[in-house]
Order: sequence, then structure tokens, then C-alpha cells
Amino acid sequence: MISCNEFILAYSEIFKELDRSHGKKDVEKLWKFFSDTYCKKLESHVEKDGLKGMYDYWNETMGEEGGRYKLTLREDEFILDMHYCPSVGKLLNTHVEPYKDYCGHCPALYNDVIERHGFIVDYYIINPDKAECRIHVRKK
Amino acid sequence: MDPYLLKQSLHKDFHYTLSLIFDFLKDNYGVDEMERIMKKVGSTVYAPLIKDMKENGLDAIEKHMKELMDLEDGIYESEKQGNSITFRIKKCPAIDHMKNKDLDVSDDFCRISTGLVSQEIARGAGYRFSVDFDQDKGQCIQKFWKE
Repeated sequence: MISCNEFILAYSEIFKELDRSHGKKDVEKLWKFFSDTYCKKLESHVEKDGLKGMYDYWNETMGEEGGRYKLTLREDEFILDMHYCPSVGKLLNTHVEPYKDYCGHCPALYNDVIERHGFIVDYYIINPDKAECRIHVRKK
Repeated sequence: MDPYLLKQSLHKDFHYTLSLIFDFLKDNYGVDEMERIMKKVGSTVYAPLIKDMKENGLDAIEKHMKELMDLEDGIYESEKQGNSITFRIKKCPAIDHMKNKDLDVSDDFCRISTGLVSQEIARGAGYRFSVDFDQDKGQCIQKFWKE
């Protein structure tokens, strides 16, 4: 069994192998597939509660995943400041070499799901080597 | 297991993500390509365990299984006899989590995540491996041995 804490290593390696054998477009196809399947839970939060739904989703998810982060919810915006991404952290602190565009999976998964409900998403990958990024969501 | 990973908190929905990946790979590239990719992934992800098994034998896989089951709250028994070790998994944490959350589990989940990946670990370390699983029950019997 691949444990859920080893999963991230497998996840990154699958991106690498898909890219090497089938090209980056197939990695993006896998990310789109996740956006349409795995992200249904996020979508139902967004659909029901908008910005607060995003806050609730990431509050639960990041609470389980760990890492260092700050969630900010205002009337017209939601911000996730990722000071140390737990997922990237697993790659930086183990024997595997992260997929070159590992961080690209997050905007690919989340942006469309959020934007089709009347929001604008700015996703800043600040420094993959330090596991830092920021998601900024505003009402259209 | 890597000491860093052992200290991290758990997001068990990643079992479901892995299950989705198996379906994506099979649906888009076929069974042979899914298996090729996952063999490659298994041998890379578990390279430290393979090395440990080469150096320390069955004690290494025994330690790995204990760490994994303790981490994820699985239930199992192990029995070592000569050149073999058998694990009887009574509650698989991955299947248990997905069933409790009413998530669809890929038909290939146990066959790939346990069967194929452990086969690759055993092969790399110079061992044989077999598994007899009941995916619906989340139970299996795994055996590693050297002839």
C-alpha cells in the first residue's frame, strides 16, 4: 500500500513519467481530470458559500495536510498565503527530485473550478524551492 | 518510511487521488502502460526501502509495514518464518477511508498500489512477493520471501 504521506512522492513521479513518455500536454490532461473529479468537493463549497466556502474548504484541507499557511477571508476576497506548502515540503525533504512544474498542478486544479462561479483567481507561485505560493480570489 | 514523512500530518483523501490516477491511466493509455508507469514510480518512490531490504533483509519490510500501519491506524498481524514474512492486513487504512467517505474505489486499486508496487519492491531487493486480497473487505495477505 502506498501511504497517504508517500503519495506526494508518487504523484510527482507520475507527472514526470507522463511528461517523459507522453509530453506535458498529458500531464495537463491529468490535472484537468483532477479538476473535474477530485475538486468536486471544493466546487460544492464554492457554489454554496462562495468565498466563505473556499475558506472552509482550505481550512479543513490544510488542517489535515499541515504546513505553514495563513487564510484570510474578507467580504470581497479570500487569500491563502502558503508560507510552507506541505506537499512541496515532502518533495524537498525526501530522496525524490520534484517534477519541474510540480507547483503548476494547483492553479490547474483550482482556478477553473473557482472562476466559473463568478470569481477571479490570481495564483502566485512565489518560490517553489521554498514551498511558497499565494492564492488570491476576488469577486468579479 | 522516510523519517520526514513519518512526522507529517495525514490527509487521507490522497488515497482517493491515487485511485483516480489508476482509472485515468488505464482509461487513457491501457493496462500495460498503467502498469509500466506504476512500476517505474514504485521503484523510485521505494528506492530507500529496496536498499534497506538489500542490506537488512526482511527486518526492513517488517519495520516499514509497522510504521505505515501505525501511522494510518491500520490493523494487521505479521509472522516471520525463516526466509519469509507474511502480513495479514485486517483493516487496510486506504480502503477503510474511501469506504467511510463513500468514495468510489478503482477496480485496480489493491492490484496496483499493493500488488504491483510491492512486487517491484521485492524484485528490486531480490525477494519474491505474493498477495491475496479482498478489495471490498479491505483485507489482504501479503508474503515476501527469498528462495
